[in-house]
Amino acid sequence: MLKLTLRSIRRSFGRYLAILLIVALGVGFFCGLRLTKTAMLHTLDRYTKRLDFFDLRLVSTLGLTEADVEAAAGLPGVRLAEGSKATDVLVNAAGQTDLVYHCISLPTQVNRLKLQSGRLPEKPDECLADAWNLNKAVLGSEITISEKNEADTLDCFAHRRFTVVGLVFSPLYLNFERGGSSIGSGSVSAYFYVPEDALLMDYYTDLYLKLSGTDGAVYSDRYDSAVDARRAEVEAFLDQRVALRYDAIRQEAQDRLDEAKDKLDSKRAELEDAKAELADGNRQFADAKQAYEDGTAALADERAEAEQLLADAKAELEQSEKTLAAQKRSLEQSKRELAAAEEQLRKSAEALRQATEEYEAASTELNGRIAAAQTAREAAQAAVEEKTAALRAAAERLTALLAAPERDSEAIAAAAAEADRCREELNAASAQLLALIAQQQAGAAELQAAQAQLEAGRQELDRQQAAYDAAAREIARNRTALTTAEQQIPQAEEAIAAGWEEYESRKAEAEARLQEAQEALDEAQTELRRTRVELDEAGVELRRGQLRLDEAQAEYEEGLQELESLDHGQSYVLDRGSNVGYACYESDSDIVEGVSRVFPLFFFLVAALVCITTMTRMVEEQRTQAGVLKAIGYGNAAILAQYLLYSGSASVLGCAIGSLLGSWFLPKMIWQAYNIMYGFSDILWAFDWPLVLISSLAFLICAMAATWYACGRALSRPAAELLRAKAPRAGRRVLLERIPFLWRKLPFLRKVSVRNVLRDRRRMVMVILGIGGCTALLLTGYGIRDSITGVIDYQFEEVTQYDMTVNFHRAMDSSVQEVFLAQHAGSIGSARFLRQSTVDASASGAVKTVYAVSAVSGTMEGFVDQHDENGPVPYPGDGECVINDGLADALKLSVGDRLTLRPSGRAEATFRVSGIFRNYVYHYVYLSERGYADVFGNTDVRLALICAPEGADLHAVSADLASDEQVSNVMVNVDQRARIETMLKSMNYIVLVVIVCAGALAFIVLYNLTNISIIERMREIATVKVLGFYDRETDQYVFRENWILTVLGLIAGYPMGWALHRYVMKQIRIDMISFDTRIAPLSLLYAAGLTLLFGLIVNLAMRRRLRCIHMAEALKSGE
Amino acid sequence: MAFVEFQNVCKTYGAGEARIDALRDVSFEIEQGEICVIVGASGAGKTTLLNILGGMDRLSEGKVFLDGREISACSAKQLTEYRRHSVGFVFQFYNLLANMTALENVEIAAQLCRDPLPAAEVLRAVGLGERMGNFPAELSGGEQQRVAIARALAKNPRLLLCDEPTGALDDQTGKQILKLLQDQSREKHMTVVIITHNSALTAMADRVIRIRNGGIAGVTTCDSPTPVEQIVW
Repeated sequence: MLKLTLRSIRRSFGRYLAILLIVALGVGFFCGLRLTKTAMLHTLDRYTKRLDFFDLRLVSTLGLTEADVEAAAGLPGVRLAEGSKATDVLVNAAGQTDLVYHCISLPTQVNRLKLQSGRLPEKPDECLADAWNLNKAVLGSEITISEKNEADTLDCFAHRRFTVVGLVFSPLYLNFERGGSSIGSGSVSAYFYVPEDALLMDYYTDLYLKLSGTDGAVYSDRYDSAVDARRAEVEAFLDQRVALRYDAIRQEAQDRLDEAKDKLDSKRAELEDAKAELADGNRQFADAKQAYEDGTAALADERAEAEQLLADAKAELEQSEKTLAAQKRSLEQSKRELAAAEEQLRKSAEALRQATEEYEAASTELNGRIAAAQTAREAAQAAVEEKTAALRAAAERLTALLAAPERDSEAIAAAAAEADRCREELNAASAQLLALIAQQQAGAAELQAAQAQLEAGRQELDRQQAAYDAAAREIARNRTALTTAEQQIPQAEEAIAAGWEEYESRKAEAEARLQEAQEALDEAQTELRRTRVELDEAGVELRRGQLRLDEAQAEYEEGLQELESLDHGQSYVLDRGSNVGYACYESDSDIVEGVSRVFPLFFFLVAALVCITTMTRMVEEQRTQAGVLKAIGYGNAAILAQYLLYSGSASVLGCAIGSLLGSWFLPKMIWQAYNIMYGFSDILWAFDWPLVLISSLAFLICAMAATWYACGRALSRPAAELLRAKAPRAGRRVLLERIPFLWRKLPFLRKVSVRNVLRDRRRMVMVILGIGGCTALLLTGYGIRDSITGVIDYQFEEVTQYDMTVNFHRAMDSSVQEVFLAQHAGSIGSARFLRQSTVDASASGAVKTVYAVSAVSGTMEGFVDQHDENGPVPYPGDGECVINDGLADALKLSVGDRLTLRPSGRAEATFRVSGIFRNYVYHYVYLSERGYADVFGNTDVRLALICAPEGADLHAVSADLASDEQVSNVMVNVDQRARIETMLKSMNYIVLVVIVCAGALAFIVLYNLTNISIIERMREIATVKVLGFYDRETDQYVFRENWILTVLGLIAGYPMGWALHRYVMKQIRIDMISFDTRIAPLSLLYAAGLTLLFGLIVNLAMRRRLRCIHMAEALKSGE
Repeated sequence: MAFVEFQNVCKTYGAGEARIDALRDVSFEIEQGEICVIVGASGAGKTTLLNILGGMDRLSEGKVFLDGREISACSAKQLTEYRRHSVGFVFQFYNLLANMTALENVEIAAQLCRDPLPAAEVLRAVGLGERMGNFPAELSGGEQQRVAIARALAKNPRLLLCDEPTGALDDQTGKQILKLLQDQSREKHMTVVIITHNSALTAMADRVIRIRNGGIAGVTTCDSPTPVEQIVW
């Protein structure tokens, strides 16, 4: 019996293989898909355990200290605690500049790294780089900290250049997502690890804890509850530490402020001094200026005086000159007068001489009379002699007197001598006269008279002589004076010349002095000007100093205020769920699981059908053999066992091969697909014996049951009937023939095909199921992709109209908003400020976390298109809210229902749902401004949606906005979209997996059925060949029904696919994202096209079989 | 030249040790319009001979001519054409297409050739005017064979090849079938080759070719063949 089975296997190996393959495929896919999640989780589990991936992450806005880490390490239940420093920094690396890298301190305990290549850093300026984004080519190259970083950031780095010595995978970054950043482009390109010493911050940004007792598998409840058990304790600890930290920081800030204040005060004093100094300077300047002005006036006076003096001197000189000239003239006059006087004098002398002569004549006469009287006189001689002696003495005295003048002295002497002689004559005359007097006593009267006359003449003469003498003396004196005067003239001229000289010299001197004075003044003026400039400068400097001081003051005051309002520190205890990679990993593995829940079902179904058809066919083929066996005396059980052995062995083999290959190959393949996102490790082999056994058993039972069913019917007949050849299956009219006008129109061979199609219902059902399943699978695969990518398209093209989201550091009141808008007027096409909070929304017992949003003075129009099928949804009024469709679904809400918002720490508030709009990513509840204020109390505006101007470079705009110090970060929608799209590219691989499995399914089903069909109809086909059908006609004859069935299957597959797609989408529904469950028209085409392609491939393969059918051989058999 | 001519035809199956000579140096001729019965025991090679003549199988050596055309030199496609236009087949097990009515079975053949006879007429001619709309499963063996003959005749072939046409029929029905064949041959001057292991049929033939062990054992011609009705076996 075993031999028989083996032989029949060998004989119908194709059929055996079909069962084996479909079972292998079914088990393989089922186990593979199921195990993929297990393997993925196992891989992650091993990975996280090996690297001690954190259990809790402690973050404080105030930073954490060494002491905090030590304290945390001492907490009960904490196995490891390690602080980590991290910062985003702009770097130049791998040939690009100003990339945003996330720099982390090298861990030693928690979140250790997996070294992909290279080595660990040995020097402080060596680093490890992101193995995901960088390749081995960067080993040995440098990562340079860009100078464009903020000073604070630059200060964090002990080195400016880090040599990449190794590539690592960090458990913190399981997938490709590197997160956002508040600097540069706004998104982190890669991370790199530097030794802790290379980061100079004095605090830790994160504190990672590894708890004890958390050895449960990743994502397992055991793990989660183990972590949750410690959470409260850790939170309390963190709060306490943060409070300490707050005090320390406050103290430090206070100290710093005090110091600043001291400095400020001293600066202020300095400034005051400087001010005083400046005032002093100003005063001095004013004095100097006054002095200068006085000097200038004095100079002018002096100048005038000097000029006056000079002018006077000049006038005097000129006067002197005139005087001199007049003197000269008068001198000439005098000379002339003198000459005239001398003339007169000479005349006088002449007259005198005449007079004298007259006198002498008179005297001679007298003398004659005197001589006559001589005897008279002899008697009086003695008296005359006495008188003569007296006269002589007088003459001598005259001589003496006349001896004084020099020149005319002789003349004068002569004159004097003459006078002497005259006097002697006179004496004689006198004696004679006396004698005469005496003789002539009578004549005495005459003599007397003569005497008196003489005496009168004498007196006259004397008077004349005296006058003459006086005149002569006068002349002499005049001459002397004249001479003196003449002598004085050159002297005077010299004096005048000297006066002029002196005048000139005095003038020159005066001018020189004035010049000097002028120069001194000029110098003084220059000096003054310089001083002025200096003073002005000093003034400006002073004002500047004042400004600086004011600024410093303002800063100080700000600091003071800051200190007053110093944040008490937000602290967070985050678990792994907050790690993007970790969170995504679960949902991604869930997607695989969701898919695995559905697809294998098909394979069970199809495997069962394949078994039934195959075994039925086999039993029919071997009915003679069965009959013989039965006739010989074998029991039904024995014969049945033979077939069960056949199908059972095929199933067991198939299960073994399938489970081995499936659980090895599928996870690997899907992992390959996920490698786009997760490249941290090779997938680990996970084998789930119960799963494999259960699924194998299921398939085995399925195959056996099918065999039982197929054989049971045949074997129930008596042996004789079995031995007889089975009558050919009766031809059958089909329903269509009852509609003659349609039937008649069909070409003849088509009619046959139609009948053939309907001849074997079971086969028909199976083909339709198989092909339909294939189409459904394809449709589902494409549909998954459509639905997910559709979400992105809809979200970013229909719903989201703004270009970027801007988050602000601080609350923006309306004036600040205006300033912000004005400052970036070039970058902002339009902007809408928002209030946004995360809040729990509940209705009908379900709760969802949503974003509550309220637009500041306005609606969302132009920023978010809120519409439903009927058009735009109006912005809610007070007491109303507008929610997205996904939320409405989740909370089972419709328009008019009431939605409750529960903000933490505040009373809940209820709103009437006034509209439901389409939105795909995240849940939103829009409120009016008042509604928002009612719920949250806090009305800070920290968010704005920005539409860039038409045609603007979004990244330039983003960079401009991000450079504003109020802006904490800018998210550009196109970047976000690109990131999400990259992520969803892995969907293509899922689709590929689906296509491959759908193809395999279609191929097996079609091949098996066509094969059976051909074997069954061998004679028929041989007959038509003999009748002279060309090969092509034969093909058509056989395959037309295949095509008809394929198309029918296709049509049946569409609704199946639609339903399956919906089901799968429900399975992989991710919270916060409402997939747009839809299948694109193109996907319908793809699914159909691929199905037909698979059909075509099968038909092409089967055509070769048709060619091989030998007419003669086929016709011989009577069976 | 005769209508059908076999010249030193050999047919060998297999190779080497397992080599079987199905036909060895077979040469014969059949004239147009003749009814030729090829008779031999099971395994003598008569079916091989028929297959070769019908263009269903290839020979190993020699030449086969039909009406001067060398069939043995034809390509597969030419052979199909030859079968399609020149040859009609009647098989032992009728080989009707189960999913077609009697009429359709005839029509499918009639469609193929250039100059077919009207299917319904042919069916009536073979005495099945009443049963045209029935499926083969609804017909008796004789009726089925008649349909098969009608199918062959409808193509209006120049050569009708019958492989044990009576093998699955009782005597009476067999006779009716043979009669039909003889009548059609005479009527249409059609060359009919009947292969049988039943020597009794040789009586109705114009020419009898005996085959033994893959070779010709003898060829006899009979100028006045016995009408089928008179043959007894």
